Parts: sequence; C-alpha cells; structure tokens
Amino acid sequence: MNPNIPKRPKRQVNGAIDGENTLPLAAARAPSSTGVIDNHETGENEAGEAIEDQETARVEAIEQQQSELPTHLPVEAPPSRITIPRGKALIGIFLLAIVVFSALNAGYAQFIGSQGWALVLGGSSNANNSNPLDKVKQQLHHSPTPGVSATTTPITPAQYIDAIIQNMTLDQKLGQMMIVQFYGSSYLPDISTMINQYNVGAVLLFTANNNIINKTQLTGLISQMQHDSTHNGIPLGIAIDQEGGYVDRLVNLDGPRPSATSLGATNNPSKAQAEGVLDASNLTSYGFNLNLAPVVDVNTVYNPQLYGRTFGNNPDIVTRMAEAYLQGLQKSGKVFGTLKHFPGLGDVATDPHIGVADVYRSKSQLESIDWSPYRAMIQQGNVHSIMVTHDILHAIDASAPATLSYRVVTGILRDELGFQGVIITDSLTMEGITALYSESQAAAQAVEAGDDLLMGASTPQILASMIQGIKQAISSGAISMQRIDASVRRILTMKYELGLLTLPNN
Amino acid sequence: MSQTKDKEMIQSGVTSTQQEKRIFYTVIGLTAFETILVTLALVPPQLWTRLLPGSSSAALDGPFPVALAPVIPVLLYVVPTLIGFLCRSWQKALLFATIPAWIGLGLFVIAAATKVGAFYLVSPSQVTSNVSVLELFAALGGIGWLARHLFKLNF
Repeated sequence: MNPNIPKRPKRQVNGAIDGENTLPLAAARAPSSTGVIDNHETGENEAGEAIEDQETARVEAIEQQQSELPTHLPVEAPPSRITIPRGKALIGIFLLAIVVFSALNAGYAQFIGSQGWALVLGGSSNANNSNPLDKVKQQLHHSPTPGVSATTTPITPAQYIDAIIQNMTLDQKLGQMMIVQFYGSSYLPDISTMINQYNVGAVLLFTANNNIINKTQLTGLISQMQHDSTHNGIPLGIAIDQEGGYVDRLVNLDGPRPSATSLGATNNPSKAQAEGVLDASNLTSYGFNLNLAPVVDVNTVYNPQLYGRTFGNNPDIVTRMAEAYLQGLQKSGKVFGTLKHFPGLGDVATDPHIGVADVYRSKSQLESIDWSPYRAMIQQGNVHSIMVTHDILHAIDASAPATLSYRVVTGILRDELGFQGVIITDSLTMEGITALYSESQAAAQAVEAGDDLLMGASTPQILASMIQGIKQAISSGAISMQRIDASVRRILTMKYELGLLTLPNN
Repeated sequence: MSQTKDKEMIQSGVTSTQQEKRIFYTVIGLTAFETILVTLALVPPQLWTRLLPGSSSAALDGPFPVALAPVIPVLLYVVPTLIGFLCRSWQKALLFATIPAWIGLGLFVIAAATKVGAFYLVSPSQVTSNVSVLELFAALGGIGWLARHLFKLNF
C-alpha cells in the first residue's frame, strides 16, 4: 500500500453502507475535488487507478446492497392469504348460487311460510289466537255440579251467531268480510297468510289465476284451505263464477256447460233447473259452496262483456230462467247462487274491468227492467247473495259507482227491494275503481255503502291495505261497530244455512 | 428526509391496522344486525298484533312499517353476503355468516321442543328446512367471500 495515498476515512464509507445518505457515494464518483481524485491527478497513476477500481467496485457493491434494502421499516408480515383467480371465483359463485337457489325454497319458508318458525311457535291461528267457535262452546258447555255430566244450553241459530260475533275480535270480523283471490295451483304462502293470519271469509277461485288445473289438485287445494280455516274457527266460503258458456271455469274438468243465453232461448225453466242441479253436483264434489251466478242482467244493448251470459232481453224470461236455475243450484242446500250484476249492466257497453259505466235510465225504467228479476226473486226468499257492480246510476247517485253508493246499496237494494242477504261487491281492484279510489278508500266506502263481502284482494298486502282503510273509517266514526256486526251476522247466517256452521250439540 | 420516510412508513402500518379493526367491527355489527333480523322471524304474528293493535299489517310485516317491510327479506340475504365479502379468510366468512342462523335455530329448537315437542323437530320436513337455513347462510357467506377475489381485494 502506498503510504502517500491518503487513507480515505472509513467512517465516510461506512456511512454510505449504512445507507444513511447517498451524497458521499455521489461525491466519491465525482471527478472533482475529493481527495481520491486529487491523488489521481498528482501522477501516481497505476497504484492510484487500482485503488480507484477497488473503490468503484466497493461503491457499486454498496449501491447494490442499498438497492436490496427494504423500502419500509420492518413490520410484521401479513398473514398468508388465499388468492383465487377471477375465473375460478366466478365459477365458485355460480355453483354457490345454485346451492342458494335450491336452499331458498326450504330455508326461506322458515322465515315466512305456513310452516315457518313463528307459525310453529305461535300456531296458525289469527290475531288473538282465539277460535270464536271454541269460546262459544265453552260458554255454552257447563257443568253445574261436580260429578254431574256437563250440559249444553239450548240455543237458537240467531243466538249462536250473535254469540260467535261477541267472541270475535275486530280483525276476525273484518277478515270475514273479505273474499280474496290468489295466483297459483297450490296452497302457497299468499293464500295461507290470508286464511291463517287474516281469517278471510271466502276465497274465489279462477282458472285464469291458475287455481284450477285438474280434479285432484282442485279438491286437494280446497280441502287444505278449508282445513286451515276450520282450525282457526269459521269455515270458508269457497266461490267460483261457473256460469256456463264462455264463463265456464270447470270446462277442462267436467266438460262444457250451456250458456245462459242458450238456456234462455229455450224458454224452458226445467232445463235451467236441471243445469242448476248439475252445476251444484259438480261444484259440491270439489268443495265449492258459493257460485257467483246466475247473471240476471236484462241485456238491451250490445255489450261484448255480457255476450252469451244473460238469459235474454226480456225481464220476465230472465226472471223465470234465473229462478229455475237458482232453485236447481240451491236444491241440495250445499251451494248458494249469487244474482249479479246489480244494479244492472244490461244498458251499458262499458266493461267494468276497465272503466266505470254510466247508466242514464230513469228510476222507473230501472225498476221495470233491470231490477225486476231482483225484486221477484228476493220476494220469493230464495236469494242468499247479490253482487253489486261498478256502474254509476245517474238517476239515483251520480257521485259514486253503485258499489260504493249508500243510496244504491242500502237505499235501493236493502230498503226498497228488501234484500236481507249478503251483498258482495264486484272486485274493488278493477281498473274502474282503482282509477278513482285507493284500495283502502274503496274498502271503507264499500262498507259505508252497505256491502258485506268485499272482493278484490289478491295478496296479503292488498288485503292489509283494505282492512286498514276500514279500521281508519271505524276510528274516525264513519263506520260503526254495529255496521260491521250486521255484515258479519249476514255472512255467518249464510254460512250457517250452507251447513258450514252447526249448532253445538246438546 | 430519512425521518420523513420512516414516519410515512410507520403511519401506513398504523392505518392498515386501524382499517382491519374497522372491518372487524363492521363484521361484528352486521352479524348482530342479522341475528336480530333472524330472531324477529321467531316471534309469532299474534304477538305483533297484540303489541300493535292499530296496525293491520302487523300480522304480516311484524314491527316493520309497510313501506319498509319489503326491504327486510332482502336484507336477510344481503347481509350474510356482505359479511362474507368483508372477511379475509373463508373460515371467518362462513363462521360469521352462519352465526345468526345458528342462534335462530338454537332458539327455535329450544322453544319448539317446549311448545310443540321434540318429535316435531326430527320430522323430515323440519330437518330439511332447518338444514336449508344453515346451508343458505353458508352459501351466501361463501358467495360474498368469493366476490372479494373478483375485485382482487386485499383489505
């Protein structure tokens, strides 16, 4: 080692190795004023170059080391993670989605279905978990002295029905005033909820709603609905509009039935009566107890909606044929018919499904034509229910459709024509009504008008909305509890007459 | 300059830890929320109608207002998926996603055994339904966890 070569201070290099600062390294490489360069310039070339080469190598080594140093302070290494390529993750999600889909049916039912957790724990009965029929039986069934067998107090049908009403909650009463529809061929959550939670009074089945597929399915469906309803207390009215002709809901099960128009054309009441008997037989075999027929509109103008559905354009023929059909239908006492569509669609061309029809006939015309069949048949005492539809009678009440008009429903049908049976509304969710009223408004106004059984709810949500509307009207005083009780009494009386309610045994 | 760099490095480490804590607490919160939703499904409708006599939808929607009610079933399925999404490991995803179902199922088994009878619980339909609940929640948690890998998430 050449002693003339000044020793480079070790500290300077160490500082560079430590990575404290890059400036000394730059300075070492710079061909200018450092001591190393100065030596090179003084002529001690060979030895100096060798040393410089060594220095350069060292600097490069230091730089290399520095570049390999971690850029962050040493921290705890993160836990190892599983990384899955996007494609595999997507396939996994797809496969799990299939599992979710298959598990949904059974798993979801635990949260909401008729066999869900809450219903298993709380039972399937309605709001107050009380069966009014059981309560009445308990009240009537008493044992005066220990050891003596219990006896049941004799009771008349009217007293029995009043006792049931006294033991019903408001929710149960309002439920009885609802005739609901649903979509599907089996006992799905919607209809199960409407029967079990809202205790609806009746269910209307339609082919268009996929309710009627075949005999076995239909019988099973009705049986299941009736089973749950009876378990809760009051059996259901199971309704259908089996008119024959174009409105033949059972055509795929029992074959075609003649239309009312073709029956009317024969002017032979015995044929109509025979059709009534046959319809009753078919309907009873499936479990139906309410037929929304016959149509007693006196058809005087062309109305495509009524084509083939009326017995004719003469009030007398319509009355005679409808009477005969009704007698045949109700002969067994297991199925009741329903006259429709009060106050009459014979003079309108508008379909109430899509709009509210206007009737400009005078009251005397209405009495002599449209109401003639109603008056005659009501007087005979064979009519248990009448359906009211949505046309506006300008001669009576131009402010509201007949369904929601007190003057038409109570004023004409109850007071003038003297009908004491069940008044059923046409569907309150038809466009003619929904264009003007919300479901809750329509329901409240229908009850105020005097209707007993409200049609239109097809989901629990719509049903809840309609019931809420009536409750609000009760709270505001627009509807009294006596008014509700009167409707429920008529509905229960009809069910008693149908044999759905029986007096407690002595 | 080196001190500044050190600070940044230290701060980034702290932020990562805080973020992990925040995610953990979110997962716990979501699990608790889901547990409440599942537990509400155990309450019989009769109780709701008794507690809320003025409501016509209590039998159907329980304590939830009509406007909010449709969201609840959606939440029942979205929350376990979200829990799985927030979990770094699949074991945690499955555990936290299914905890609400385990709790709900446990409460149901206790209540139903007392009220209905033990034999009811071993009926094939009940077993299928209850296993399906667990399967459902586990699958949803799994979907959430796999979704992390779709987005290449590292938190």
